[in-house]
Amino acid sequence: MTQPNPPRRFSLSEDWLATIIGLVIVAIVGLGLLGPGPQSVTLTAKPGETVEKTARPLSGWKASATIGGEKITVADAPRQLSDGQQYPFTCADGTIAAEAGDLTASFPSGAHLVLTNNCAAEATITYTTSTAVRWPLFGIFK
Amino acid sequence: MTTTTAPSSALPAAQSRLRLGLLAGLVLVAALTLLVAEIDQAIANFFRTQGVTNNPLEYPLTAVLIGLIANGLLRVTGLYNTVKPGVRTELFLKIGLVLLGAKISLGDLMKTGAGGLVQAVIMVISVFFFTWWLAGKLKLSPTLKAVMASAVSVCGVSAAIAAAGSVMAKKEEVTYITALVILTALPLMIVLPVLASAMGLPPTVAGAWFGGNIDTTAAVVGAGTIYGAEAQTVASVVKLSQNVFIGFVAFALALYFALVVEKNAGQKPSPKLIWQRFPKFVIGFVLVSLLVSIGAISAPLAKELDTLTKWAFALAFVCIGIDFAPGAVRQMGWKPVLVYLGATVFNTLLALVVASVIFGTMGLGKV
Repeated sequence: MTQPNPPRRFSLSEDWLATIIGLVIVAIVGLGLLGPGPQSVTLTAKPGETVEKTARPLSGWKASATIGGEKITVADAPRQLSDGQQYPFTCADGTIAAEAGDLTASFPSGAHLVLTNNCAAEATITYTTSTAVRWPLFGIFK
Repeated sequence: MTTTTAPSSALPAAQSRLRLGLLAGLVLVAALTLLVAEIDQAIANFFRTQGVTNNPLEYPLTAVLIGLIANGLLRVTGLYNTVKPGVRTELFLKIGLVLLGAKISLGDLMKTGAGGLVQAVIMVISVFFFTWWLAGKLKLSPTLKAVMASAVSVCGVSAAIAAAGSVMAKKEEVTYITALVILTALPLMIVLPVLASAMGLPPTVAGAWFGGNIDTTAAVVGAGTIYGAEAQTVASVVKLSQNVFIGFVAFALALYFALVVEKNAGQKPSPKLIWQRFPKFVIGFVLVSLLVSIGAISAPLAKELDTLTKWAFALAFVCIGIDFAPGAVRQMGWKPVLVYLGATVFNTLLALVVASVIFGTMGLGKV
């Protein structure tokens, strides 16, 4: 009587396994398949100018700003941007501050950042989200 | 003749032990890598307090050391064989190499202009073949020659790992070369700016010299920083354009070893045979590099992937420490050190001449 053959299992060589795992990681993180990836929106306004840009409605945004090339802190910059909302900022007296948006008005989809420059020098605001996948541990080794 | 057969329950029990060992090993390696990351951050903080922004004592040394300590403890406690299935050095290295492709953009070659490109080509080809020749004279093994020549000529640890993966080098060879790369880069980071200053080199020439010669990115940036902002920029960009050659070297070495070194006597290298022997992860590496080069992966995302590459390599180096066989290093002896130092001296002198001509006399470098 012959013994039945043991069931054959599909076995993947280590080379291919590593390649597939690596490419899956690239697809998830590098191509942003699991989310929008890191975002960056910059508004640059010359003196007397008002500019507007649309950002993705996400949480975890960080704001940085410059006036005449010098870095400054934006007072009360919101970290969560909601869909259909306007977020006005005004540059005046050498500072940039966030102001209360018009909650009654309706805006097209996206979060609308508006910078009005009443300063004597060019003003910029940059909104960024830091990482594609927010695992705190992955901040190490940077 | 008598034969003994294992009870029918033995096979599933062995498989179950294997799975448990795989899981325990993976958890242990991950935990040790976290420890490495914490220590690495502490070392980086220490250097920052000393005014050195990039940690020149890179994580592979820490990872191997932690792995070695774990190796000793596991053997003493008798748990070594239990966790061994989870110590997957090659798997982590190859995953890291696929991700490393994200760091290599062909566009980087253009950043230094024609001068940087010419310098990178001259340096990589000359130093690679000089090291290969010198290592051959001292009768180093083909795999060690490949790892060392790549490390000295291209970009240190990353190139050593890529070459090791392509030619299936021994783990101890990778550790040996990695230690040499990091320990040699440290004094060069201090000495070269002093020498450049003594010779009165312009910042662009000095930067091109540091970038074309020092093997670790952190030490290149460190040397540039000591010499000044302009030298730092040139050094970083020249180093970056040289890094691009990792892909070419890894690919060429994989082909060379498949076609020449591992060929059996009288065996014709058929396409099927080459395919069988060719390390497949190189395809993943090249594919990711192309995605970065054509802009499908943006710069911030490529940076994210670079961090993940470091994690994969840190996991691999912890495994190397756990797997470490001191006998293999003793067998290699001091000859690799002599070859490495000889190649570094050649690299230093040639980089000085090439940088002086291209970035100085001809004024071809632009950053």
